Amino acid sequence: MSSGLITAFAMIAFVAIVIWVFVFKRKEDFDEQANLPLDEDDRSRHDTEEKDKESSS
Amino acid sequence: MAHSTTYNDRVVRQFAWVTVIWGIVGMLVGVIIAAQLIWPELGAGIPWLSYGRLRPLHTNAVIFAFGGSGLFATSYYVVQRTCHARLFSDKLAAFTFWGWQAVIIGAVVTLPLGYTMSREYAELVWPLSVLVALVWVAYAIVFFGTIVKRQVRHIYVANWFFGAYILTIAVLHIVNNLAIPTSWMHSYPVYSGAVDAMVQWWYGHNAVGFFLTAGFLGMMYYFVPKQAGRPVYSYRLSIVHFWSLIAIYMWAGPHHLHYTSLPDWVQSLGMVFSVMLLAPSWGGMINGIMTLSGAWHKLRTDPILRFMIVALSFYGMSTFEGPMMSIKTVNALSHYTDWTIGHVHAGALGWVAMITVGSLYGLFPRLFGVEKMYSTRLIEWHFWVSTIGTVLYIVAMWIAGVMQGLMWRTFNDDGTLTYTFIEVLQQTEPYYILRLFGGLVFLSGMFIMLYNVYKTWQMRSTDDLEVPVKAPAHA
Repeated sequence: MSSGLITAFAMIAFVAIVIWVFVFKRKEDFDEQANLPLDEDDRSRHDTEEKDKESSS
Repeated sequence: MAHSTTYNDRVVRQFAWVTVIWGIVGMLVGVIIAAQLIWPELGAGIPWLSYGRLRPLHTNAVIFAFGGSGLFATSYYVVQRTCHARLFSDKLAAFTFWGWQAVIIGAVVTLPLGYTMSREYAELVWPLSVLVALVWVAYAIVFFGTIVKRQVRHIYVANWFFGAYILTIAVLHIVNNLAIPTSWMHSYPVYSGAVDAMVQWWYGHNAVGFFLTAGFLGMMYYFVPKQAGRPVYSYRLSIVHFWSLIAIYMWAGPHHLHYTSLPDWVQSLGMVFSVMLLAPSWGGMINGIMTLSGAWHKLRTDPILRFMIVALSFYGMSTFEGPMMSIKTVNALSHYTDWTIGHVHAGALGWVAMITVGSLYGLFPRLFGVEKMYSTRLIEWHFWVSTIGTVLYIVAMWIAGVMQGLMWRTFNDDGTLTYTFIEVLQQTEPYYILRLFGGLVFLSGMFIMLYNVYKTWQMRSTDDLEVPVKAPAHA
């Protein structure tokens, strides 16, 4: 009984994380985070813009 | 004032240097014990050089000295750069460096002398274990203190992985090493019997999961995007990857104890969770490799990137092999054979060492303030010897392991064993020679790296490069 509850809880937690990540969080937020490693070097900026262009077109 | 506006790269440089040196030491000991399996008299009868004492020295040196120093170096670098903040405390950071080196020296002395707690990957005697715990607490304070100081709103995903690795290793290390000392070099564990075995492999497998996986995934999530010059393929996937990986790994340990006195349901639980691990592992691998989508041409010219992508491929391969080997019927064949050794080295050489080496090649020029490594051609050479060495090693162990498993389970009609142990060993010898050769080839790459790093270091403009903390792009 209790192990069944734990399994159900784990399932719900996983689904909740997926829904939270894919539905509730904004894409811009993630883009900002994803670019954190590229913040410092100017030479990498160029490539990032290139990819943005690809994805918007 | 200057201190608060620059990064603490000094400790990163120290850890990066010793990563290369301990890598050579640890792998050299590995090569020696691989040779001892072919020529057992190689230690000349000196107890300090016997296989049983050198083997824990090899595992401790490559995991904790080489891998550990690599993780210290990269986590300190990454947390500062992605938080736009200097390390929380210079003194504590220096303590983690010197403390960690003291632990390693302690291991190099005590293990050949035969002092051990007899727990795999946790052999160090209790005073050294206490020192490990102290260093680790300091590490956690420095790392999380830097995150608290951050100038950006978000915590980059690499730091989540590094953070999980630091926290989990603290818990694992302390729980597994609980013991009652009887003298300075001897202690009794507080656990006994099957519980002791379960605690040991709960620790042992999570050392794989959090030290050798989560930590190096942190490395991957920073250095792959950095080297490719583009953000990670899917940040959303990286979050799902993180939470599912840390939720599942904790329960996989019992697969080390199939068909033992461990309760059957615990074995099955360990098997199920191990099989489930395939999903997050491959999610992470795909996320890393697909970061290059649209920039595949860079693989042609950049051997550093190639190191990282091949490392991810080996990661994918060994995280497919692992779940398969945890299935009880497969394990009945593979367990106690050299297949396990092959699996471990697919992960250790292919994934851990190659992602570390790739990341360090990206890191060293930044630490020395030069444009790039002294020789790209030598990196290219290192890449090929690493790849070929790893493949030779794991192919030799696959063949040896499956052969051993099959020979051990062959019975005569009257129920007696068809092959004696020594017959199996004789059949294994050629593969041990092939494995030794693969290990030597891999080790030679580390010498190439040492030379290349040394030449790059000679190109430096100053000994203590101070890099100013950059204002975040999005405040």
